[in-house]
Amino acid sequence: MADVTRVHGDPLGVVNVDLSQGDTDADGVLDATLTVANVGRSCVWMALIIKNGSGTAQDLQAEVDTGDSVEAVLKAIQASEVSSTQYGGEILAYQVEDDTSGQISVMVAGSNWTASTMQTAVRALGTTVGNNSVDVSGTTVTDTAMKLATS
Amino acid sequence: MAELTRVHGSPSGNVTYDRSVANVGDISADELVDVSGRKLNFFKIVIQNGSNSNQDMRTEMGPNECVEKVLQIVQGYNSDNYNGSATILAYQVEGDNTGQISVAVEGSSWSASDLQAAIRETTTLNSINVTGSDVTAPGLDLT
Repeated sequence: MADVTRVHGDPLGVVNVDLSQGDTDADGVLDATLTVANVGRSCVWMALIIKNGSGTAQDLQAEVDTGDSVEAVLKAIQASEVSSTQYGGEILAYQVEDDTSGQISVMVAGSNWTASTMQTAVRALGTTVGNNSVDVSGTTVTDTAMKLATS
Repeated sequence: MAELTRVHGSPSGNVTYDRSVANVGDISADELVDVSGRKLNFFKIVIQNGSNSNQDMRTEMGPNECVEKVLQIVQGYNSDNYNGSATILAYQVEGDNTGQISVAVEGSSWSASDLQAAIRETTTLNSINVTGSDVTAPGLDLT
């Protein structure tokens, strides 16, 4: 019996909304990093390093209680009112590192945050955030896409 | 008017199945919280040959090529042959020569070591030597 070689159904994203730039010239070869979400809305993936105004990372291991700084940062990311500085989004998952790096990684759906607008919003929380008055005014945010770290 | 101080509803995971191993209050392990849906797992896969050289995945994006076959293994496409399976929610292939594929999965029965063994034991995928591939489970630790 004759075989038909399958030429469609590759791992590239199927429709625009679920993929990043990936194969921009449609030659089947990646010329940029490709992110594909198989279900649901398109996500952004951000790595936040909570830092004070001097650029020193803030230890978050003791900042995960009610009203602490981690909660305040997550609320800022999910800001429901869209304005010039708040872009909303639905946090699907997040991770707080158990070390002194001050890192929070977030996976956000339905968001129009960019790294720079999120960074501005978090920094705007100020120098006395949460129950323990954490200075987050030097926080940095990087749009990593879904690139997992080594650890 | 008297106020009640809210003492519940912290960013720590609320119920057992949606959280990693951290405890109430200060954390003692990376705290991964899935806000909705099933428990998620995240695997970092680096495709390497037997000499532990990274294999460039940029040209392995076609049907039946290496990336597709790796994703099929993660999903337990031929489940009789593997020790795990999972539903892939999202994945990323790096646009460089690092050979890295990151996957977010739900309903996973994989451990990183089992997934690594399953990929390695295929030996070649679309003629790419995958026998030195590494798999780690960093949680949602983005670089």
